[in-house]
Amino acid sequence: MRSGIVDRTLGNGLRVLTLRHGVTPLVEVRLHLPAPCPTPRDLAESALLAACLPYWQGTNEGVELRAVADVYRMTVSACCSGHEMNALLQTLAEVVRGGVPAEVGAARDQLIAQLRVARAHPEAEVRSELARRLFGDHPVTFQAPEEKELAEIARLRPRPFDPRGALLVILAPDDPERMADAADRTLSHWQPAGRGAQPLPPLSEIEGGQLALLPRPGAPQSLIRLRAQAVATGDQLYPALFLASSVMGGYFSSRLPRSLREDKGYVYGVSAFFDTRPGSGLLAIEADTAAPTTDATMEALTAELRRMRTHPPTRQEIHGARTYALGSMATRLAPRPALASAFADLAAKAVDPCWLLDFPRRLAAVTPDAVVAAAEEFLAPERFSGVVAADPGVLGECGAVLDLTAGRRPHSPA
Amino acid sequence: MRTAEITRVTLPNGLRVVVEDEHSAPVAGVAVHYGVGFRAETEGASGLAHLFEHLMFQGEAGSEQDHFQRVESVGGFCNASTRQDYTDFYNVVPAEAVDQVIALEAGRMRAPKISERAIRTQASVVREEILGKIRKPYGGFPWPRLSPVLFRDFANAHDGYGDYAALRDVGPGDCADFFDRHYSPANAVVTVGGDVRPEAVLEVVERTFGEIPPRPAPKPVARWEPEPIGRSEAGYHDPLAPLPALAIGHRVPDPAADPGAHFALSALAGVLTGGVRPRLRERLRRETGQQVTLSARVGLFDFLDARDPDMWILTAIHPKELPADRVLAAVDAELASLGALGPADEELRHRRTQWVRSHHRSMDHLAYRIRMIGRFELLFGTPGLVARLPDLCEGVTAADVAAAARGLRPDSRALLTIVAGETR
Repeated sequence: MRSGIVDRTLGNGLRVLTLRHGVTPLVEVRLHLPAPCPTPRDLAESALLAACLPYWQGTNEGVELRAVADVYRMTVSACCSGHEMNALLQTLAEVVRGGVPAEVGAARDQLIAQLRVARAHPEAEVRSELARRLFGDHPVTFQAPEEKELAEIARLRPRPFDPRGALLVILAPDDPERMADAADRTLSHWQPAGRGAQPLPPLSEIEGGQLALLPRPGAPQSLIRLRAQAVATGDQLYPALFLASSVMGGYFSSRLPRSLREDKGYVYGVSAFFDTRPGSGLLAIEADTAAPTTDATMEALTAELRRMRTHPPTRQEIHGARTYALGSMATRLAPRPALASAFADLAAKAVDPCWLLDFPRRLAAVTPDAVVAAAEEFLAPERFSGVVAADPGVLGECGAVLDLTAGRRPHSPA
Repeated sequence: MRTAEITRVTLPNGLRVVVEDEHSAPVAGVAVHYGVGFRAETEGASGLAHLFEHLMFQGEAGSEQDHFQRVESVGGFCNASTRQDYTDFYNVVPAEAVDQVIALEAGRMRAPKISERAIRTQASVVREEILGKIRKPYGGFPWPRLSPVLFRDFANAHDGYGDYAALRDVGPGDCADFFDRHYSPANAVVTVGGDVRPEAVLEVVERTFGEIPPRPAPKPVARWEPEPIGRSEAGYHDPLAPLPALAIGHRVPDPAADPGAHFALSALAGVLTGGVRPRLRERLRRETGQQVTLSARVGLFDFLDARDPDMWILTAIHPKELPADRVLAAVDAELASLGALGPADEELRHRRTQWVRSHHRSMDHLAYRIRMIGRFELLFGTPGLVARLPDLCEGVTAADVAAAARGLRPDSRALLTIVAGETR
């Protein structure tokens, strides 16, 4: 998979990771840029700049440029043929040094139209309710830019990015040293402007046992979204907890899909996964089910969580989860765009991207006892909080099904 | 560029086998395409092909574990899809496990484990799948909603995703019959790709799939029907949609006879709605000041993905202030302009560059690659077409695009409109 990797930090602090990878005649680039957004206005500006990127080069369409922004960062994704790579790096150099497009109207109108559709999705409402309940008034609850903020932006103000903490990833069927040199030539003149932006405040740990109903009268399908405090990706407990959560719901052969889908037919998909942000790691369990099976699905979910402790992961289950995880590292990351994105995604969560290359070794080193201990510590039902978006009429008596802890009262939004 | 080469073999039981080795990553893929899709369904059995796809994951009769468990236990992943004319199953695994996965696919082709209980459970899973996909803004748009507007024949027009009411009555007998008729080796293609040795793969394929007794392949059924005369219209109300929308569907030339026409239609879709300054969006913005979200493609699901008849689709999500007819007028004005003058050279070059880039990018995914090779073998008998796609795309001329634009006539069109939002 890797016949050459260069990991270089330029004088200005920009980290450059280049790999020879794949055979298709294309260059795949990711640029992670820290861009903390303490206010909704900041997020609107970030999102608008990201939306403008595809238009950056006017009529030169040899390069495909896209960008996404959230409250922590902006990530640019680009793809081009080998002979366009220098032009692409020049464009990136303009963007990071605070370049702004002269005209934002078209991109803004498109972004607003897309956001209207995205906001109408039932998933958007439940995500935003979940974020509000878990994180209170932290900026991370700004799920998407607000239309009124976007409408007020007539021009983008130049906002240079900080090379310290930024990461450039280049993957191509080419010499990684040569690619790193090209990046060095184009981007080493990028200097930090002033003190740099203040990072967002850390997220506080979430409490368990706070399960809320988001009423959606008449909804034919209920959305179940649960979270429990876990550990950040770089934590030494992470590999063991990763395997414990895999045994519970990380893949088709794991307990939750076996029970809820293959045995009972309640769901099309159910999964347990890590929901991570800079400095924070939560365990997530998510499932959608038809309104009439909401109660039964919640009961089965809770029962499986309890079983993680009464019937802890067996050696065979742990072996299965580990084999699947190691195999996935090879199969899922073989495509060049997937590997490039995996590095950038880690940077977006404030994790060293090279952690990815070391993860197989860490997974292999986890003992079964450590997995059982992680399940015991982290997977208790009472550690979970979350939101169930459902028609209140379909839930059991007094919404008792919303009580994972037996005895505690469910919370309901005002 | 790619050094990959294709090996093609047909086994005595009629199974077609395609192997492509490509050694850039230690990963292998196995795809099995069966020549049956939802167009083979009979009235009263809408969704049976899709349900049967789910049931195949029970794995081989007699095996304790199902297909997911077996593939995941070697560190791989697997999935499947049901389209008009085929159902494909695919697996991507660490290269050393390729023999095991070939054997698993052969096992379920020989004798899948189908029980009454599995049928009930999977019918329920299919219902959950459809609920999740349909109950969202623009769910079911344009597929399966557009098909009955463009087509009259049940095979082409019906909802092939699945009708839960119809699936409730499906029993083991129906499934055994469906399997017997459609899942024979002679009606299937096995594609193996990635970091493999073709001789070794063929040896394993012969030892496993080769042992399956021959059964006749179903006779090919033509699904052609007359093109619509005039504008065939339908509309519905989507309470979750924030904005109104429309989709238009046009019949396209038979892809087996004229794949080049599909490239021209694809370039036309790109010129109208793709890139940074798509013609149609720019025109609507210039003339009305309104923002419209557009997409267009040739092929109901994908490019060269079905036999005749297939369709060219354009969708537009537009503001309430802009009536659907105004959007349509802009579409027809652009089609007329392109039909007369064709696209500018630079415009066409950009669209070709974008198409080829996006093709290379998706072919980097082994799963996409083996699925495309397999479906080209199954549908058209041309697995090597995959390698020629970039050249064929580069060969599209402005005159080809103009001809494609003239073919999308307003007097032979399906129009589907969505009324948005809560009813008062």
